[in-house]
Amino acid sequence: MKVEIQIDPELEEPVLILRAPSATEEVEQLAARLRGEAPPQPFTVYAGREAVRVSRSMALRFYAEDKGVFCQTGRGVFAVRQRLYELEEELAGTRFVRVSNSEIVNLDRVAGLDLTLAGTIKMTLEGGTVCWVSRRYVKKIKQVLGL
Amino acid sequence: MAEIKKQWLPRALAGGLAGVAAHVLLGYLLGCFSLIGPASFSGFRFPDCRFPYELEPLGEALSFGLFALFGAEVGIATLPFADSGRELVIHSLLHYAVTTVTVSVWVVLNFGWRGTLPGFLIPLTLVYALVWLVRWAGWYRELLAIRKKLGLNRKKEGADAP
Repeated sequence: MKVEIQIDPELEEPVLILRAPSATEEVEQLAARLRGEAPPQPFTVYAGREAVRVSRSMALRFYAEDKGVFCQTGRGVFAVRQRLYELEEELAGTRFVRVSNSEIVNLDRVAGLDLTLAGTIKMTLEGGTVCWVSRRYVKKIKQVLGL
Repeated sequence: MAEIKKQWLPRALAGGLAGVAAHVLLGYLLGCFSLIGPASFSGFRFPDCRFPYELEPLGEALSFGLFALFGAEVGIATLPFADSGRELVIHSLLHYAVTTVTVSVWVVLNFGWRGTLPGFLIPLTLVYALVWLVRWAGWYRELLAIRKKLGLNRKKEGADAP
């Protein structure tokens, strides 16, 4: 890893900018250490009976379908053994936000937003997955983004 | 949804009262209206739905009722916007249809079928379209703010750049 220090007398306090080609687990843990926080724990998801660890940044969304909860990542879809409301509680205060009754999305993996005539927001995630944001959840998104 | 159910009754009641007040004001203005000479108040004259003389009080009561109903409909007019997607469209169209029927009944009873109805329904439709447009513009502004926070505007600008 390359470390570069730039001195800028105009700054009032040190500012650390972490540049990386992608938000890997290593990058997340390093950022958490620099912030003085406990590093975010990866999710445990299941491919059949096999438990798989998925870093938070890898997860695109969690969704409920046919009485099950699933985690979609860039590498595929995995089963989750928690309920959606449990995940929502666990992920409170992070960049994961509930967008409808059946979906929680990772805002860092949103690639596009469009508005329909009826006011519903069409959210496109990296890789092309489309989610629909209910108007009643727009307030939550705004809260997470500090709007 | 439960929140909306809680809101609609007080709003409808307040709107209904406002409708009655508007009807009283209309009665006052019609009482001031004079074809000859300066306008002066000569007692309340309420629309009587063109009922025969002996049934005029019933016609006036019906006119009051229709104004109260219209007021109640205006009172709950913004509630469909709390819905989303298909529900929003269905509830808005339903609200528009019910309001149009209320206005049409009052206009036809008081002025007949010919000529006057479009003069009431066209402005009503334009108001609906305007309210929808303003609401949509508000949603779009919200969307732009979210896009900006997510850095999506920047990506778009970058993509557009030569």
